Amino acid sequence: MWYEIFTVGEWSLAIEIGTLELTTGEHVFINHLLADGVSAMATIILSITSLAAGLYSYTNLKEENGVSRYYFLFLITVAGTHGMIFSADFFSRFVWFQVVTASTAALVAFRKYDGRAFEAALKYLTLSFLAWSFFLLSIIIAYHIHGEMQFYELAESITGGLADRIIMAILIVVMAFKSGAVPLHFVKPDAYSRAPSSVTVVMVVVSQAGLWTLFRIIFNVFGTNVNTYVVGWIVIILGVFSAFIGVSMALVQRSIKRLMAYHAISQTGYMLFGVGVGIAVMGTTDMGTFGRDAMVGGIFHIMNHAIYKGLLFLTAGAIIFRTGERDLNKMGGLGRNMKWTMLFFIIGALAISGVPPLNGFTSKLIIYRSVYMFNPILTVVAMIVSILTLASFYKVFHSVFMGPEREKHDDVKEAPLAMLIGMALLAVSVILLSLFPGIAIDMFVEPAMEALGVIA
Amino acid sequence: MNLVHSITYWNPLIMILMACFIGVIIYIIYSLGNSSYKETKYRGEPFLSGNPPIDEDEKDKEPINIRGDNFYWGFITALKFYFKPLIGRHTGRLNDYIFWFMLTMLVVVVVLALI
Repeated sequence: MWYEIFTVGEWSLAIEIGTLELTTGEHVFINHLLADGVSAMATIILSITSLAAGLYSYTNLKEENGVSRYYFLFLITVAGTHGMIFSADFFSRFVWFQVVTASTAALVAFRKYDGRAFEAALKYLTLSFLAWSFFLLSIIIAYHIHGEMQFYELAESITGGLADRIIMAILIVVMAFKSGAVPLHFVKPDAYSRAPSSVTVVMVVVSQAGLWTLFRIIFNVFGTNVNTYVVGWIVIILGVFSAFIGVSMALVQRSIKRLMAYHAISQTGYMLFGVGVGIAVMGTTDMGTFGRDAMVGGIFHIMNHAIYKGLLFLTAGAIIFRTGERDLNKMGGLGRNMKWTMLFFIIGALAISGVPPLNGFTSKLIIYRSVYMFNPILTVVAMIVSILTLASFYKVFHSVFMGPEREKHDDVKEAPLAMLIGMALLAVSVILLSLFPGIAIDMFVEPAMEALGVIA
Repeated sequence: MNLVHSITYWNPLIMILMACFIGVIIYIIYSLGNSSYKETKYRGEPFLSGNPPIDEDEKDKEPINIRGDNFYWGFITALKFYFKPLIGRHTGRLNDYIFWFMLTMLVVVVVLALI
Protein backbone atom coordinates (compact mmCIF):
# COMPACT_ATOMS: atom_id res chain seq x y z
CA MET A 1 0.00 0.00 0.00
CA TRP A 2 1.40 3.38 -1.06
CA TYR A 3 0.61 6.63 0.73
CA GLU A 4 1.14 9.75 -1.37
CA ILE A 5 2.64 12.60 0.63
CA PHE A 6 2.89 15.36 -1.97
CA THR A 7 3.10 15.83 -5.74
CA VAL A 8 5.21 18.32 -7.71
CA GLY A 9 4.50 18.22 -11.45
CA GLU A 10 4.86 14.65 -12.59
CA TRP A 11 6.85 13.72 -9.47
CA SER A 12 5.22 12.45 -6.34
CA LEU A 13 6.62 11.41 -3.01
CA ALA A 14 4.91 8.28 -1.80
CA ILE A 15 5.69 6.17 1.22
CA GLU A 16 5.30 2.47 1.72
CA ILE A 17 5.86 0.73 5.04
CA GLY A 18 9.60 0.28 5.29
CA THR A 19 10.31 1.93 1.94
CA LEU A 20 10.45 5.54 0.78
CA GLU A 21 10.41 6.04 -2.96
CA LEU A 22 10.21 8.91 -5.43
CA THR A 23 8.36 7.73 -8.48
CA THR A 24 7.19 8.97 -11.86
CA GLY A 25 4.76 6.11 -12.10
CA GLU A 26 7.30 3.83 -13.68
CA HIS A 27 10.39 2.27 -12.22
CA VAL A 28 13.32 4.71 -12.13
CA PHE A 29 16.35 3.23 -10.46
CA ILE A 30 18.13 6.39 -9.41
CA ASN A 31 15.28 7.64 -7.26
CA HIS A 32 14.98 4.91 -4.68
CA LEU A 33 15.23 5.71 -1.02
CA LEU A 34 15.14 3.07 1.66
CA ALA A 35 14.15 3.73 5.26
CA ASP A 36 14.75 0.64 7.37
CA GLY A 37 16.60 -0.39 10.53
CA VAL A 38 20.05 0.14 9.02
CA SER A 39 19.31 3.61 7.69
CA ALA A 40 17.49 4.52 10.94
CA MET A 41 20.46 3.58 13.10
CA ALA A 42 22.95 5.29 10.79
CA THR A 43 20.91 8.49 10.59
CA ILE A 44 20.52 8.68 14.39
CA ILE A 45 24.29 8.36 14.81
CA LEU A 46 24.87 11.03 12.16
CA SER A 47 22.27 13.38 13.64
CA ILE A 48 23.70 13.23 17.18
CA THR A 49 27.32 13.65 16.08
CA SER A 50 26.63 16.37 13.51
CA LEU A 51 24.54 18.33 16.04
CA ALA A 52 27.43 18.18 18.53
CA ALA A 53 29.92 19.12 15.79
CA GLY A 54 27.70 21.98 14.58
CA LEU A 55 27.42 23.46 18.09
CA TYR A 56 31.14 23.02 18.60
CA SER A 57 31.95 24.80 15.32
CA TYR A 58 30.24 27.97 16.53
CA THR A 59 33.26 29.12 18.53
CA ASN A 60 35.90 26.73 17.23
CA LEU A 61 35.95 28.42 13.83
CA LYS A 62 34.77 31.89 14.81
CA GLU A 63 38.09 33.52 14.09
CA GLU A 64 38.75 31.68 10.83
CA ASN A 65 38.10 33.15 7.40
CA GLY A 66 35.25 31.80 5.27
CA VAL A 67 33.01 30.53 8.06
CA SER A 68 29.92 30.82 5.84
CA ARG A 69 31.62 28.58 3.27
CA TYR A 70 32.46 26.19 6.08
CA TYR A 71 28.83 25.88 7.15
CA PHE A 72 27.70 25.48 3.54
CA LEU A 73 30.14 22.58 3.03
CA PHE A 74 29.43 21.13 6.47
CA LEU A 75 25.68 21.01 5.78
CA ILE A 76 26.29 19.53 2.31
CA THR A 77 28.39 16.81 3.96
CA VAL A 78 25.68 16.03 6.50
CA ALA A 79 22.92 16.05 3.85
CA GLY A 80 25.04 13.97 1.47
CA THR A 81 25.74 11.42 4.18
CA HIS A 82 22.01 11.16 4.83
CA GLY A 83 21.60 10.62 1.08
CA MET A 84 24.15 7.79 1.20
CA ILE A 85 22.45 6.22 4.17
CA PHE A 86 18.97 6.26 2.63
CA SER A 87 19.80 5.46 -0.99
CA ALA A 88 18.53 2.05 -2.02
CA ASP A 89 20.45 1.59 -5.24
CA PHE A 90 24.08 1.62 -6.20
CA PHE A 91 23.96 4.58 -8.56
CA SER A 92 22.31 6.93 -6.04
CA ARG A 93 24.80 5.81 -3.45
CA PHE A 94 27.64 6.46 -5.88
CA VAL A 95 26.36 10.01 -6.55
CA TRP A 96 25.98 10.77 -2.83
CA PHE A 97 29.45 9.42 -2.13
CA GLN A 98 30.81 11.83 -4.76
CA VAL A 99 29.01 14.76 -3.17
CA VAL A 100 30.37 13.89 0.28
CA THR A 101 33.88 13.21 -1.00
CA ALA A 102 34.06 16.62 -2.67
CA SER A 103 32.64 18.51 0.32
CA THR A 104 34.77 16.71 2.94
CA ALA A 105 37.92 17.21 0.85
CA ALA A 106 37.13 20.93 0.72
CA LEU A 107 36.59 20.93 4.48
CA VAL A 108 39.89 19.14 5.10
CA ALA A 109 41.56 21.99 3.20
CA PHE A 110 39.46 24.60 5.02
CA ARG A 111 42.48 26.09 6.78
CA LYS A 112 44.04 27.15 3.54
CA TYR A 113 47.04 28.75 5.27
CA ASP A 114 48.08 25.24 6.34
CA GLY A 115 49.93 23.58 3.46
CA ARG A 116 49.62 20.15 5.03
CA ALA A 117 45.84 20.49 5.06
CA PHE A 118 45.95 21.03 1.29
CA GLU A 119 48.22 18.04 0.87
CA ALA A 120 45.90 15.87 2.95
CA ALA A 121 42.86 17.02 0.97
CA LEU A 122 44.59 16.30 -2.33
CA LYS A 123 45.55 12.79 -1.23
CA TYR A 124 42.05 12.16 0.12
CA LEU A 125 40.46 13.37 -3.12
CA THR A 126 42.77 11.38 -5.41
CA LEU A 127 42.42 8.11 -3.50
CA SER A 128 38.67 8.55 -3.15
CA PHE A 129 38.14 9.16 -6.84
CA LEU A 130 40.30 6.14 -7.67
CA ALA A 131 38.11 4.03 -5.38
CA TRP A 132 34.88 5.48 -6.81
CA SER A 133 36.09 4.74 -10.34
CA PHE A 134 36.29 1.08 -9.36
CA PHE A 135 32.89 1.35 -7.68
CA LEU A 136 31.39 2.80 -10.86
CA LEU A 137 33.05 0.10 -12.95
CA SER A 138 31.55 -2.65 -10.81
CA ILE A 139 28.03 -1.22 -10.85
CA ILE A 140 28.21 -0.73 -14.64
CA ILE A 141 29.13 -4.43 -14.98
CA ALA A 142 26.30 -5.35 -12.60
CA TYR A 143 23.79 -3.25 -14.56
CA HIS A 144 25.02 -4.68 -17.86
CA ILE A 145 24.58 -8.27 -16.63
CA HIS A 146 21.50 -7.99 -14.42
CA GLY A 147 19.78 -4.82 -15.66
CA GLU A 148 19.24 -3.67 -12.08
CA MET A 149 20.90 -1.37 -9.56
CA GLN A 150 18.36 -1.38 -6.74
CA PHE A 151 19.70 -3.56 -3.91
CA TYR A 152 16.76 -5.92 -3.47
CA GLU A 153 15.96 -6.24 -7.18
CA LEU A 154 19.61 -6.90 -7.96
CA ALA A 155 19.69 -9.54 -5.21
CA GLU A 156 16.98 -11.51 -7.00
CA SER A 157 19.10 -11.95 -10.11
CA ILE A 158 22.48 -12.58 -8.43
CA THR A 159 23.65 -16.11 -9.14
CA GLY A 160 27.15 -16.07 -7.63
CA GLY A 161 28.90 -16.60 -10.98
CA LEU A 162 32.40 -15.35 -11.76
CA ALA A 163 31.23 -11.88 -12.78
CA ASP A 164 29.16 -11.54 -9.60
CA ARG A 165 32.11 -12.54 -7.45
CA ILE A 166 34.38 -10.01 -9.17
CA ILE A 167 31.74 -7.30 -8.71
CA MET A 168 31.49 -8.20 -5.04
CA ALA A 169 35.28 -8.22 -4.59
CA ILE A 170 35.60 -4.72 -6.06
CA LEU A 171 32.75 -3.40 -3.93
CA ILE A 172 34.24 -4.94 -0.76
CA VAL A 173 37.64 -3.32 -1.36
CA VAL A 174 36.12 0.08 -2.15
CA MET A 175 33.99 -0.01 0.99
CA ALA A 176 36.93 -1.26 3.07
CA PHE A 177 38.85 1.76 1.78
CA LYS A 178 35.96 4.04 2.68
CA SER A 179 35.78 2.63 6.21
CA GLY A 180 39.55 3.00 6.65
CA ALA A 181 40.51 -0.67 6.94
CA VAL A 182 44.22 -1.56 6.81
CA PRO A 183 46.01 -1.61 4.31
CA LEU A 184 43.72 0.95 2.69
CA HIS A 185 43.89 3.34 5.62
CA PHE A 186 46.86 5.56 4.77
CA VAL A 187 44.93 8.65 3.81
CA LYS A 188 42.72 8.64 6.93
CA PRO A 189 45.30 9.89 9.47
CA ASP A 190 46.39 12.59 7.01
CA ALA A 191 42.84 13.85 6.44
CA TYR A 192 41.51 13.40 9.99
CA SER A 193 44.45 15.16 11.59
CA ARG A 194 44.41 18.25 9.38
CA ALA A 195 40.63 18.79 9.16
CA PRO A 196 38.93 21.00 11.79
CA SER A 197 37.86 18.71 14.65
CA SER A 198 34.15 19.29 14.03
CA VAL A 199 34.68 18.01 10.48
CA THR A 200 36.67 15.01 11.70
CA VAL A 201 33.70 13.97 13.83
CA VAL A 202 31.44 13.89 10.78
CA MET A 203 34.15 12.20 8.71
CA VAL A 204 34.14 9.30 11.18
CA VAL A 205 30.43 8.81 10.49
CA VAL A 206 31.02 9.18 6.73
CA SER A 207 33.54 6.36 7.03
CA GLN A 208 30.92 4.30 8.79
CA ALA A 209 28.60 4.81 5.82
CA GLY A 210 31.20 2.72 3.98
CA LEU A 211 30.73 -0.03 6.56
CA TRP A 212 26.95 0.14 6.27
CA THR A 213 27.26 -0.11 2.49
CA LEU A 214 29.59 -3.09 2.89
CA PHE A 215 26.99 -4.83 5.07
CA ARG A 216 24.22 -4.01 2.58
CA ILE A 217 26.29 -5.46 -0.27
CA ILE A 218 27.09 -8.67 1.57
CA PHE A 219 23.78 -9.32 3.34
CA ASN A 220 21.10 -7.65 1.21
CA VAL A 221 22.56 -8.08 -2.27
CA PHE A 222 24.84 -11.12 -2.48
CA GLY A 223 23.70 -13.10 0.58
CA THR A 224 24.44 -16.80 0.46
CA ASN A 225 24.85 -16.80 -3.33
CA VAL A 226 28.60 -16.48 -2.78
CA ASN A 227 31.00 -18.41 -0.53
CA THR A 228 30.23 -16.52 2.67
CA TYR A 229 32.90 -18.36 4.66
CA VAL A 230 35.64 -16.93 2.41
CA VAL A 231 34.02 -13.48 2.31
CA GLY A 232 33.72 -13.57 6.11
CA TRP A 233 37.40 -14.41 6.48
CA ILE A 234 38.38 -11.60 4.10
CA VAL A 235 36.45 -9.18 6.31
CA ILE A 236 37.95 -10.71 9.49
CA ILE A 237 41.52 -10.45 8.12
CA LEU A 238 40.93 -6.81 7.22
CA GLY A 239 39.61 -6.38 10.78
CA VAL A 240 42.66 -8.02 12.39
CA PHE A 241 45.06 -5.86 10.38
CA SER A 242 43.04 -2.72 11.12
CA ALA A 243 42.80 -3.36 14.85
CA PHE A 244 46.43 -4.33 15.40
CA ILE A 245 48.25 -2.05 12.98
CA GLY A 246 45.95 0.86 13.85
CA VAL A 247 46.71 0.67 17.55
CA SER A 248 50.44 -0.01 16.95
CA MET A 249 50.75 3.13 14.86
CA ALA A 250 48.75 5.11 17.42
CA LEU A 251 51.23 4.14 20.11
CA VAL A 252 54.14 5.85 18.33
CA GLN A 253 52.38 9.08 17.31
CA ARG A 254 53.21 12.40 18.89
CA SER A 255 50.44 14.45 17.22
CA ILE A 256 47.29 14.19 19.32
CA LYS A 257 44.88 14.13 16.37
CA ARG A 258 46.96 11.74 14.32
CA LEU A 259 47.09 9.38 17.30
CA MET A 260 43.30 9.51 17.56
CA ALA A 261 42.96 8.98 13.80
CA TYR A 262 44.92 5.73 14.07
CA HIS A 263 42.60 4.68 16.88
CA ALA A 264 39.63 5.28 14.59
CA ILE A 265 41.24 2.77 12.20
CA SER A 266 41.89 0.35 15.05
CA GLN A 267 38.30 0.49 16.27
CA THR A 268 37.04 -0.22 12.75
CA GLY A 269 38.82 -3.54 13.20
CA TYR A 270 36.44 -4.50 16.02
CA MET A 271 33.40 -3.82 13.84
CA LEU A 272 34.91 -5.90 11.05
CA PHE A 273 35.72 -8.72 13.53
CA GLY A 274 32.15 -8.94 14.72
CA VAL A 275 30.39 -8.64 11.41
CA GLY A 276 33.03 -10.78 9.65
CA VAL A 277 32.24 -13.68 11.99
CA GLY A 278 28.53 -13.18 11.26
CA ILE A 279 29.25 -13.33 7.52
CA ALA A 280 31.47 -16.42 7.86
CA VAL A 281 28.73 -18.40 9.59
CA MET A 282 25.85 -16.99 7.54
CA GLY A 283 23.37 -19.70 6.60
CA THR A 284 24.76 -22.22 9.13
CA THR A 285 23.49 -23.27 12.56
CA ASP A 286 26.37 -21.31 14.15
CA MET A 287 24.54 -18.14 13.19
CA GLY A 288 22.01 -18.96 15.87
CA THR A 289 24.56 -19.73 18.59
CA PHE A 290 27.22 -17.03 18.25
CA GLY A 291 27.16 -15.52 14.72
CA ARG A 292 24.22 -13.29 15.49
CA ASP A 293 25.75 -12.10 18.77
CA ALA A 294 29.01 -11.30 17.00
CA MET A 295 27.06 -9.11 14.60
CA VAL A 296 25.16 -7.44 17.43
CA GLY A 297 28.51 -6.60 19.04
CA GLY A 298 29.97 -5.34 15.76
CA ILE A 299 26.98 -3.16 14.91
CA PHE A 300 26.61 -1.83 18.47
CA HIS A 301 30.30 -0.95 18.35
CA ILE A 302 29.65 1.22 15.28
CA MET A 303 27.26 3.34 17.31
CA ASN A 304 29.51 3.47 20.36
CA HIS A 305 32.56 4.29 18.31
CA ALA A 306 30.94 7.20 16.48
CA ILE A 307 29.94 8.78 19.79
CA TYR A 308 33.10 8.34 21.87
CA LYS A 309 35.49 8.88 18.98
CA GLY A 310 33.57 12.04 18.13
CA LEU A 311 33.95 13.14 21.75
CA LEU A 312 37.70 12.46 21.72
CA PHE A 313 38.23 14.40 18.49
CA LEU A 314 36.30 17.33 19.97
CA THR A 315 38.47 17.31 23.12
CA ALA A 316 41.58 17.24 20.92
CA GLY A 317 40.18 20.19 18.97
CA ALA A 318 39.54 22.12 22.20
CA ILE A 319 43.13 21.53 23.34
CA ILE A 320 44.52 22.65 19.97
CA PHE A 321 42.15 25.66 19.98
CA ARG A 322 43.41 26.85 23.37
CA THR A 323 47.10 26.00 23.13
CA GLY A 324 47.76 26.12 19.39
CA GLU A 325 49.74 22.89 19.85
CA ARG A 326 49.08 19.39 18.56
CA ASP A 327 52.45 17.93 19.56
CA LEU A 328 52.16 15.87 22.77
CA ASN A 329 55.79 16.71 23.64
CA LYS A 330 54.92 20.38 23.89
CA MET A 331 51.94 20.03 26.22
CA GLY A 332 51.45 19.32 29.91
CA GLY A 333 49.59 20.39 33.02
CA LEU A 334 46.47 21.50 31.14
CA GLY A 335 44.24 19.59 33.55
CA ARG A 336 44.41 22.50 36.00
CA ASN A 337 42.92 25.02 33.59
CA MET A 338 40.80 22.79 31.34
CA LYS A 339 38.95 20.65 33.90
CA TRP A 340 35.80 20.05 31.84
CA THR A 341 37.76 19.16 28.75
CA MET A 342 39.82 16.75 30.86
CA LEU A 343 36.66 15.16 32.26
CA PHE A 344 35.19 14.68 28.76
CA PHE A 345 38.52 13.27 27.57
CA ILE A 346 38.55 10.77 30.45
CA ILE A 347 35.02 9.60 29.60
CA GLY A 348 35.91 9.16 25.93
CA ALA A 349 39.28 7.52 26.63
CA LEU A 350 37.85 5.01 29.11
CA ALA A 351 35.01 4.20 26.71
CA ILE A 352 37.30 3.58 23.73
CA SER A 353 39.65 1.49 25.89
CA GLY A 354 36.77 -0.79 26.85
CA VAL A 355 36.88 -0.01 30.56
CA PRO A 356 33.66 -1.10 32.34
CA PRO A 357 31.00 0.12 32.81
CA LEU A 358 31.30 2.35 29.74
CA ASN A 359 29.70 1.55 26.39
CA GLY A 360 32.92 0.53 24.63
CA PHE A 361 33.21 -2.30 27.13
CA THR A 362 29.67 -3.53 26.45
CA SER A 363 30.11 -3.92 22.70
CA LYS A 364 33.61 -5.34 23.11
CA LEU A 365 32.35 -7.86 25.67
CA ILE A 366 29.76 -9.16 23.19
CA ILE A 367 32.43 -9.32 20.47
CA TYR A 368 34.98 -11.09 22.73
CA ARG A 369 32.57 -13.79 23.82
CA SER A 370 30.99 -14.52 20.47
CA VAL A 371 34.21 -14.29 18.44
CA TYR A 372 35.88 -16.65 20.95
CA MET A 373 33.42 -19.35 19.94
CA PHE A 374 34.41 -18.89 16.30
CA ASN A 375 38.17 -18.59 16.78
CA PRO A 376 39.80 -17.89 20.20
CA ILE A 377 42.90 -16.31 18.61
CA LEU A 378 40.74 -13.45 17.32
CA THR A 379 39.57 -12.72 20.86
CA VAL A 380 43.16 -12.68 22.11
CA VAL A 381 44.06 -10.17 19.38
CA ALA A 382 41.03 -8.04 20.27
CA MET A 383 41.98 -8.00 23.97
CA ILE A 384 45.62 -7.09 23.26
CA VAL A 385 44.39 -4.25 21.06
CA SER A 386 42.18 -3.03 23.88
CA ILE A 387 45.12 -3.02 26.33
CA LEU A 388 47.30 -1.11 23.86
CA THR A 389 44.44 1.36 23.32
CA LEU A 390 44.30 2.06 27.05
CA ALA A 391 48.10 2.41 27.10
CA SER A 392 48.18 4.97 24.32
CA PHE A 393 45.32 7.01 25.78
CA TYR A 394 47.13 7.05 29.10
CA LYS A 395 50.06 8.52 27.20
CA VAL A 396 47.80 11.28 25.85
CA PHE A 397 46.21 11.89 29.25
CA HIS A 398 49.52 12.22 31.03
CA SER A 399 51.23 14.23 28.31
CA VAL A 400 48.38 16.73 27.97
CA PHE A 401 46.74 17.08 31.35
CA MET A 402 49.24 15.91 33.98
CA GLY A 403 52.64 17.16 35.05
CA PRO A 404 53.79 20.74 35.59
CA GLU A 405 52.23 23.51 33.57
CA ARG A 406 54.23 24.81 30.64
CA GLU A 407 55.21 28.43 30.98
CA LYS A 408 53.75 29.34 27.61
CA HIS A 409 50.43 27.73 28.61
CA ASP A 410 50.11 29.47 31.97
CA ASP A 411 47.18 31.57 30.85
CA VAL A 412 45.30 28.84 28.98
CA LYS A 413 41.57 28.96 29.66
CA GLU A 414 38.84 26.35 29.58
CA ALA A 415 37.26 25.71 26.15
CA PRO A 416 34.44 28.14 25.23
CA LEU A 417 30.87 27.29 26.22
CA ALA A 418 29.65 26.24 22.77
CA MET A 419 32.53 23.79 22.44
CA LEU A 420 31.84 22.44 25.92
CA ILE A 421 28.15 21.95 25.04
CA GLY A 422 29.12 19.99 21.91
CA MET A 423 31.42 17.77 23.97
CA ALA A 424 28.86 17.42 26.78
CA LEU A 425 26.22 16.22 24.31
CA LEU A 426 28.45 13.35 23.22
CA ALA A 427 29.64 12.62 26.78
CA VAL A 428 26.02 12.32 27.96
CA SER A 429 25.31 10.02 24.99
CA VAL A 430 28.25 7.83 26.04
CA ILE A 431 26.89 7.63 29.60
CA LEU A 432 23.36 6.82 28.42
CA LEU A 433 24.63 4.09 26.08
CA SER A 434 26.71 2.76 28.97
CA LEU A 435 23.82 2.66 31.43
CA PHE A 436 21.18 1.32 29.05
CA PRO A 437 22.92 -0.99 26.58
CA GLY A 438 19.93 -3.36 26.44
CA ILE A 439 17.57 -0.57 25.40
CA ALA A 440 20.04 0.73 22.80
CA ILE A 441 20.42 -2.75 21.30
CA ASP A 442 16.66 -3.36 21.24
CA MET A 443 15.91 0.06 19.74
CA PHE A 444 18.72 0.45 17.22
CA VAL A 445 20.78 -2.70 16.70
CA GLU A 446 18.02 -5.31 16.44
CA PRO A 447 16.07 -3.40 13.74
CA ALA A 448 19.34 -2.99 11.83
CA MET A 449 19.97 -6.76 12.08
CA GLU A 450 16.45 -7.40 10.87
CA ALA A 451 16.95 -5.06 7.91
CA LEU A 452 20.11 -6.95 6.99
CA GLY A 453 18.09 -10.15 7.07
CA VAL A 454 20.06 -11.66 9.96
CA ILE A 455 17.67 -14.05 11.62
CA ALA A 456 18.95 -16.59 14.15
CA MET B 1 19.87 -1.68 32.31
CA ASN B 2 20.27 -5.40 31.85
CA LEU B 3 21.90 -6.69 28.72
CA VAL B 4 21.04 -10.33 28.30
CA HIS B 5 22.09 -11.97 25.07
CA SER B 6 22.28 -15.63 24.31
CA ILE B 7 25.86 -15.89 25.57
CA THR B 8 26.39 -12.54 27.31
CA TYR B 9 25.10 -11.04 30.54
CA TRP B 10 26.04 -7.56 31.61
CA ASN B 11 24.49 -5.09 34.00
CA PRO B 12 26.31 -1.76 34.47
CA LEU B 13 24.27 -0.98 37.58
CA ILE B 14 25.79 -3.94 39.44
CA MET B 15 29.26 -2.71 38.45
CA ILE B 16 28.50 0.82 39.70
CA LEU B 17 27.04 -0.50 42.98
CA MET B 18 30.10 -2.70 43.46
CA ALA B 19 32.38 0.29 42.84
CA CYS B 20 30.44 2.32 45.43
CA PHE B 21 30.63 -0.57 47.91
CA ILE B 22 34.40 -0.89 47.44
CA GLY B 23 34.70 2.90 47.77
CA VAL B 24 32.91 2.79 51.12
CA ILE B 25 35.25 0.03 52.36
CA ILE B 26 38.27 2.08 51.25
CA TYR B 27 36.90 5.11 53.07
CA ILE B 28 36.34 3.08 56.26
CA ILE B 29 39.93 1.77 56.15
CA TYR B 30 41.18 5.31 55.47
CA SER B 31 39.23 6.73 58.39
CA LEU B 32 40.76 4.11 60.71
CA GLY B 33 44.21 5.58 59.99
CA ASN B 34 46.34 7.58 62.43
CA SER B 35 44.63 10.95 62.75
CA SER B 36 47.72 12.51 64.33
CA TYR B 37 49.65 12.15 61.04
CA LYS B 38 51.07 15.46 59.92
CA GLU B 39 51.74 16.36 56.33
CA THR B 40 55.41 16.79 55.51
CA LYS B 41 57.06 18.66 52.72
CA TYR B 42 57.94 15.52 50.80
CA ARG B 43 54.72 13.59 51.35
CA GLY B 44 53.99 11.23 48.53
CA GLU B 45 57.44 11.52 46.95
CA PRO B 46 59.30 8.27 46.15
CA PHE B 47 62.07 8.05 48.78
CA LEU B 48 64.27 5.57 46.95
CA SER B 49 64.12 6.94 43.42
CA GLY B 50 67.77 7.87 43.37
CA ASN B 51 66.82 11.48 42.60
CA PRO B 52 67.04 14.26 45.15
CA PRO B 53 63.60 15.30 46.51
CA ILE B 54 61.91 17.91 44.37
CA ASP B 55 61.84 21.26 46.09
CA GLU B 56 58.36 22.78 45.94
CA ASP B 57 59.88 26.16 45.37
CA GLU B 58 61.83 24.87 42.42
CA LYS B 59 60.98 27.04 39.45
CA ASP B 60 61.72 24.85 36.46
CA LYS B 61 59.73 21.63 36.67
CA GLU B 62 59.29 21.21 32.93
CA PRO B 63 62.48 19.18 32.34
CA ILE B 64 61.40 16.51 34.83
CA ASN B 65 58.02 15.91 33.17
CA ILE B 66 57.58 12.72 31.16
CA ARG B 67 56.86 13.80 27.62
CA GLY B 68 54.87 12.02 24.94
CA ASP B 69 57.90 10.49 23.22
CA ASN B 70 59.25 9.06 26.47
CA PHE B 71 56.18 6.93 27.03
CA TYR B 72 56.72 3.26 26.19
CA TRP B 73 60.20 4.03 24.86
CA GLY B 74 61.43 0.68 26.19
CA PHE B 75 58.48 -1.22 24.78
CA ILE B 76 58.86 0.34 21.33
CA THR B 77 62.64 -0.09 21.32
CA ALA B 78 62.37 -3.73 22.37
CA LEU B 79 59.92 -4.34 19.52
CA LYS B 80 61.92 -2.34 16.98
CA PHE B 81 61.84 -5.26 14.55
CA TYR B 82 58.05 -4.80 14.41
CA PHE B 83 57.67 -1.03 14.71
CA LYS B 84 60.47 0.06 12.37
CA PRO B 85 59.13 -1.57 9.17
CA LEU B 86 55.60 -0.64 10.18
CA ILE B 87 56.45 3.05 10.49
CA GLY B 88 58.56 2.77 7.34
CA ARG B 89 55.52 1.69 5.31
CA HIS B 90 53.71 4.90 6.26
CA THR B 91 55.68 7.05 3.88
CA GLY B 92 53.06 9.73 3.26
CA ARG B 93 53.57 9.35 -0.50
CA LEU B 94 50.46 9.14 -2.64
CA ASN B 95 52.09 6.61 -4.99
CA ASP B 96 52.48 4.20 -2.09
CA TYR B 97 48.86 4.69 -1.04
CA ILE B 98 47.73 3.84 -4.57
CA PHE B 99 50.05 0.81 -4.64
CA TRP B 100 48.47 -0.65 -1.48
CA PHE B 101 44.99 0.03 -2.80
CA MET B 102 45.71 -1.72 -6.10
CA LEU B 103 47.49 -4.64 -4.38
CA THR B 104 44.55 -5.22 -2.02
CA MET B 105 42.12 -4.98 -4.93
CA LEU B 106 44.14 -7.55 -6.87
CA VAL B 107 44.36 -9.99 -3.94
CA VAL B 108 40.67 -9.81 -3.02
CA VAL B 109 39.49 -10.07 -6.65
CA VAL B 110 41.75 -13.07 -7.30
CA VAL B 111 40.70 -14.83 -4.07
CA LEU B 112 37.00 -14.33 -4.68
CA ALA B 113 37.26 -15.16 -8.39
CA LEU B 114 39.09 -18.43 -7.73
CA ILE B 115 36.98 -19.69 -4.83
